[in-house]
Amino acid sequence: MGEIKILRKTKQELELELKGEDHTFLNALKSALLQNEGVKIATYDIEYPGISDPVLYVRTKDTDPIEALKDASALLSKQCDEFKRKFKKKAQ
Amino acid sequence: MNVDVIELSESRAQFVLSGVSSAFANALRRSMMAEVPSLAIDDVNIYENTSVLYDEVLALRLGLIPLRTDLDLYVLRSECKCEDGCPRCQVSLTLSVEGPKTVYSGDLQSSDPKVVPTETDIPIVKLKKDQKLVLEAIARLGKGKDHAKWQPAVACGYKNLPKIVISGCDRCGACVDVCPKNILKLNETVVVKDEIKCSLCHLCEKACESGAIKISADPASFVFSVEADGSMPCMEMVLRAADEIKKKAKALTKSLSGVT
Amino acid sequence: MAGLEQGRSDKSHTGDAMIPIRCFTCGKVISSVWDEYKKRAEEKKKELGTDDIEVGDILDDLGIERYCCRRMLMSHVELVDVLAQYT
Repeated sequence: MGEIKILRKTKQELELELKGEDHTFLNALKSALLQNEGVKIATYDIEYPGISDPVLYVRTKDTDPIEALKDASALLSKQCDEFKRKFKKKAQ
Repeated sequence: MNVDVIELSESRAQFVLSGVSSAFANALRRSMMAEVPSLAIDDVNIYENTSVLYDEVLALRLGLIPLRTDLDLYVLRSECKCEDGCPRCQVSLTLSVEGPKTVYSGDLQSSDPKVVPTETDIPIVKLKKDQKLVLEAIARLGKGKDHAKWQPAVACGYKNLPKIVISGCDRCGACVDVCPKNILKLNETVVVKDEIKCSLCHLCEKACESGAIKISADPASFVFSVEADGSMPCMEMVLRAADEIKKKAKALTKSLSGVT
Repeated sequence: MAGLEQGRSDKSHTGDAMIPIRCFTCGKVISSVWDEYKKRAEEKKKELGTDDIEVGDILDDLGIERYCCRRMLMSHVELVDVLAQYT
């Protein structure tokens, strides 16, 4: 988990493979990326379901795609914390 | 984001999660089923089996028995420092019975009193006279994505929050009769008793000639129904599911930090 | 929803040796209520003097709600006793 392989990286583009991940994380990550105004394209592909590791593709307008990805990842973990906090509060 | 807990017990939960993307709701659902680890019998050493079941059938049946799991006490084998199994990553359960007797999950003797089958009356095999069963089973943590026996959630899903709007009702009552969930009631006009139970089947819309009833679903609100198999309380399972997603996000951030 | 259990003899049907531990579809543990289910179904058959009984109320009472789980119990033919002769 967490192991990544950068396949391509330019100023506005990023293509990377996320080892051991699947739709669970990638779809949420993609949707978090697209909430960012600076992101033009965010999508992922799992070439052979169950065998291949997903490849994420990000293209930004003019920001660094790595930064956009970091932001999206931070947004997701923030959402998880928020969910946990609110669920715990309501569960009492 | 807003969370409303409707029902919460050891074995089941229902809650409304609103103000999130469907991607997040789906990640949470998938995480509950495939990412939250639980204990299940993974290896079986069979010393004697003269029952009617083949060894492999017996092993599969043992694997499917849910075991009470305390995730603070055990770690996944892949994350354990040991080489081939230690008390941190596995538990041994033994079974030694002679027929005539039906063997139940309660007959399993665990080496850790905290790790026991959640139900004691699951039949494993029926032994006739002179039939014997002696085995040692090794339980390990695992994830639902590897095998369904490690899936702590059964029947876990969500639907969009139903919205029922009634205006200009002529009190014909056609929708009340046709609703399969019985959530409509005829007072001065038709009123909705339990909106959340609506299955969005739209039968009432079709039955209403004046078009007074409109069914829609809120795309940003999700009604989750979660059932646990007993290996851990429902609440813990839901919270751990969020933890697992967070862990993935943290790990990605970490591996991105070295990239320029 | 009423379940209908038809009369049948073990020998003319294929089946499982033992009741499956969990529901094939949703994964709920259903085998733990099998003994109770069978007992109540037999009682009901005796009471009504027929093998054509409705078991819906028994399943509801045992907490088997979904139809995926209900069919696991309703359609199960226990074969251990038949197989035991050949071991």
